[in-house]
Amino acid sequence: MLLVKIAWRSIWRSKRRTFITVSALSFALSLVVFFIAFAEGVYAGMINEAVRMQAGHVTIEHRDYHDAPATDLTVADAPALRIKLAALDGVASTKLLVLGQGVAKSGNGAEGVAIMGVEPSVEAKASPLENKITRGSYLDEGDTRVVVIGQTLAERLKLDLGKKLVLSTNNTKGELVEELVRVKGIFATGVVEIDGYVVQTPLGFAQELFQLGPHEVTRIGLVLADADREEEILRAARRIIAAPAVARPWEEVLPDLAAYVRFDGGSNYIIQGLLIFLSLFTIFNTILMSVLERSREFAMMLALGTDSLRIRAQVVLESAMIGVLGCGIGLLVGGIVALALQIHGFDLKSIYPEGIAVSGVSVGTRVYGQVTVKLLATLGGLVFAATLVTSLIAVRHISRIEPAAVLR
Amino acid sequence: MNALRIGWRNLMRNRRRTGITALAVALTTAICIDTMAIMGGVRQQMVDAGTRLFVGDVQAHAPGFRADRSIYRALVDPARLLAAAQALGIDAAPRSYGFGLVSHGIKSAGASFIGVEPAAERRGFDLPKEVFLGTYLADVPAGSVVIGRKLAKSLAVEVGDDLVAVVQAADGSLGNELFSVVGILKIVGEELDRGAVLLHHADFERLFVSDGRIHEIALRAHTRTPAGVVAALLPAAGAAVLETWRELNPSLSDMDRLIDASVYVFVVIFLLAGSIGVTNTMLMATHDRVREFGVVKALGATPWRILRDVTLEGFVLGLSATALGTIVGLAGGAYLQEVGIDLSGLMEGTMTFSGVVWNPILIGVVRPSDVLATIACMWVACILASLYPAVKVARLNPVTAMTDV
Amino acid sequence: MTAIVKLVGVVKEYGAAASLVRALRGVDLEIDKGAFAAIAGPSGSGKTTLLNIISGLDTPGAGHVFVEGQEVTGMSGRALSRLRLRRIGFVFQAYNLMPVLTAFENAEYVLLMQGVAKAERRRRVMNVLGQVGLSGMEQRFPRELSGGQQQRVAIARAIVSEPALILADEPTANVDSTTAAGLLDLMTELNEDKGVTFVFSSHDPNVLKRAKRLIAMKDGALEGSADAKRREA
Repeated sequence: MLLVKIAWRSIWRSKRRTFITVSALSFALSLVVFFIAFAEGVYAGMINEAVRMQAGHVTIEHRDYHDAPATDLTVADAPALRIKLAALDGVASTKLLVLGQGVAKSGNGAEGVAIMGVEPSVEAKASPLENKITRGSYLDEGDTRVVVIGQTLAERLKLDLGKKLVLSTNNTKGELVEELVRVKGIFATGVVEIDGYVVQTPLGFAQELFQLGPHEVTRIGLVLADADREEEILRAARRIIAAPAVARPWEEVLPDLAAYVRFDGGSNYIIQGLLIFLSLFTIFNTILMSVLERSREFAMMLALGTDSLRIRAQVVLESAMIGVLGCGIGLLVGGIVALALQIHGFDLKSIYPEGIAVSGVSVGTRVYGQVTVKLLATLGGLVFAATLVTSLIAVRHISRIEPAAVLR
Repeated sequence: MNALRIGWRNLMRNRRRTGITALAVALTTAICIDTMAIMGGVRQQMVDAGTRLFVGDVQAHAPGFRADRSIYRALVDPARLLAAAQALGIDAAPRSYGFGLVSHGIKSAGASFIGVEPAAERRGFDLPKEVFLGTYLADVPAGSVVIGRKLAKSLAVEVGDDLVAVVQAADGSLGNELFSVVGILKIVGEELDRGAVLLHHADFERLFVSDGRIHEIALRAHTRTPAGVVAALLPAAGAAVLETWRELNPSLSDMDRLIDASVYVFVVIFLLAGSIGVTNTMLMATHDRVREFGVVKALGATPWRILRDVTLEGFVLGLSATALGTIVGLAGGAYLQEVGIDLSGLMEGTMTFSGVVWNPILIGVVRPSDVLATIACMWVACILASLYPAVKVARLNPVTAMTDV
Repeated sequence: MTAIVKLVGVVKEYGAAASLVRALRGVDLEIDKGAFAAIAGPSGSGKTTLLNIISGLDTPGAGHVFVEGQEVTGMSGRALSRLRLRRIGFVFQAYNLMPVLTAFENAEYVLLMQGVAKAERRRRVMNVLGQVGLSGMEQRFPRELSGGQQQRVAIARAIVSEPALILADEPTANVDSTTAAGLLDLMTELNEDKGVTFVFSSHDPNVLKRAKRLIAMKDGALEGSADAKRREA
């Protein structure tokens, strides 16, 4: 096609100008790709850690538990329900949890704690806590009267492996109960809210402690293989469970985390958008200048009988070619760096040795990027479209060329 | 002076091109100023929430208290420190800590009892204003408590209800008393939310038989930096340990530094994006005038002179553009400072970050140093951006330049 | 004889009130088919404007313009475009060619827009390039050709579509005298052998004396036209 040939040759006529425009575009786009992939990776990592340590992507709990948590609000017939839920397509694992508040006492003081009754074999596979054991070992099936506690709690109560502490709490009957337990393992997540507060113990023992039946739990958590299928699995779960149990997405169970992801993500997109917007100025300027400089040429073409629409199409086509080049390089460079980040990850410890906690959820010290084809296509497409729109604005000038005036 | 004017006139030869570039530079400047304002405000708000509320800028404890929070590890001579603080115009609030159980009906929870001096708290700290329901403690002891929001929720307690406190007193006996809940705090931070029971220090002394022990003095500096407060009070501290908020909450401190660093990264990126436009324009401008430069060189101008003139032209562009951008940026900054950006629609829950509550209404803070730094950097960026085109033209051969088509 | 171009009372002014330029002040003109006419006059006399008016590139403030009996004044933009494409050929003083196209592609351009088939295009373009003496230079870009060669390509392009009328604005202004003579030989040959009507402008006496009809202009008005033959006599 003649138009394509003319457009392609035209952009290479002034190599420096094309080079600068392509550079501006690819620079901006590769940065945008990188930052978004990085952010998405951080969020995905946080959510992954949180749902595996807590109650899954989808949580089954008593409908009143959300507003007023209490140990007597339970999900009945949990083991049977759990088998049905585990059979749903897309559910990677299920976990049973018994939760309650209490006090941990040692000879050196007392601290308020959150008591978490878990299934040791399930948690060992699913929860990141198991990896964070620094001393001793994690819970095993068949254990009873043992706990794993956080480093901060251990320091405060001066506890060490094998030492005893008293867990005191109110059971479902309202009676104050106290049990002596031994420290089997000490973990360190780096987040003070977890390390100073969470006490994990085998499920059976927790049920006894709170006077719950063996089929009662506070929460059933569903950990999904693919987080994007949350909606679908939520619906499927709702069909299986019966009142008063409800199924909630993690966004309801951990609203602070959801709010953080939305807020941080939103502000990130705004900044990236501004970056692209700034780059468009350079592109607009370049296109406009190249149009104005070629006024004589265009006037001549109009004089020869060329349609002004055709000339405008030529310039838009030129911009499209520059757009494809710029976006292509930008996606390539940004994509490669993001992919490297996805594979190798980046150790946050170098800039943030304490670890970051958002609403009691640890970010995890190693963050990975998350780059998908969909992300690249969306970003590339948006920037390319923006380039085209910019060129459309710039070519409005062509219809204003009066050949006679130019040729005078 | 003359060179500046000539530079300006050259820029005006192609008003549209200059205008568009100036707009981009102005926009970059404004964006940088406003981004720094918002992020500065976010940092400030976070640090304030971490300090002004309750923790303060500096705290004094007996050595080892922070590790085990034992009721027996009290400050040796708190009066001396309090007097020194008062003399220096630093707000100080003495506090006592003890642990125990509170219950309401069949529900109970562990609680961190904090004996405070309400007047001192009101004077120096913001927590007394953060009452969600009811009121803060009165200046006189009245057997009342103010508790954290999450604690209230887990005990299903409302203002006016009674709480039973069961504690291990300092003399070994079991303390057991009924208190009346007069206030419930707003969400202010993890630790206070889920475990705090504030009571008048006289009530605390009675409950815990604590013999007037004070475990913590929280200090708010108004004109001094936290480090300055430490330095000023060190002579009066004796064996007590004085720590700034950064040492008390390292993760908050790191987060503060992280935000600072990431703002600088973004500003640099924006400056780069804006500079590309300047280089582009200066390249076009000099390309148009190749013949002119040839003539000027033939007449005897040195390459340095041409380099200077072209760079100056780029600088003039930057100068006027940043002036415009600063005005727009400051206007935006004023809006951000007064009104701010309300994101509460975006957030359903309250969010805490490293234990500190995040305010969904973002208020900007415009620091003159930030504004000046942005302007200076933008100027430098414009000059650097013009160097490449300037060098190209300075090295032209006059004869080939003059006959350029 | 049929008039291929006819102007009646054409007036063209431009600019603001204070700096009003009267390019044409009521021009009446008829040019016959097969003419080889030159518009003569000093710069600023309105030569370019006259040519632009004839082609429809410019519209007169008052008066009528007819090309091949059709009224051009009042024609729509698209119709004028079509007219210029099919019936009129152009040669400008400078910047005739598209820098990104080769000589062949430049000459071919108008034929492409007219929708002529590829083989036919090739045949005709090679033919005219040969006629203007540029065989062997078809693949060269304008920057690789001299001023005179570029003008020849422009003429080739003008004639390849076999228009009824060729308008040329100072076609020899930017070339040396030998080349100018060569260009005029070419134009004369085309006029006499193929009967192509030429209307060109110039202020060069050596060029003007080659014209068969002189249209003299001064300050936007015709000074009366003289037959070259009568002049020679």
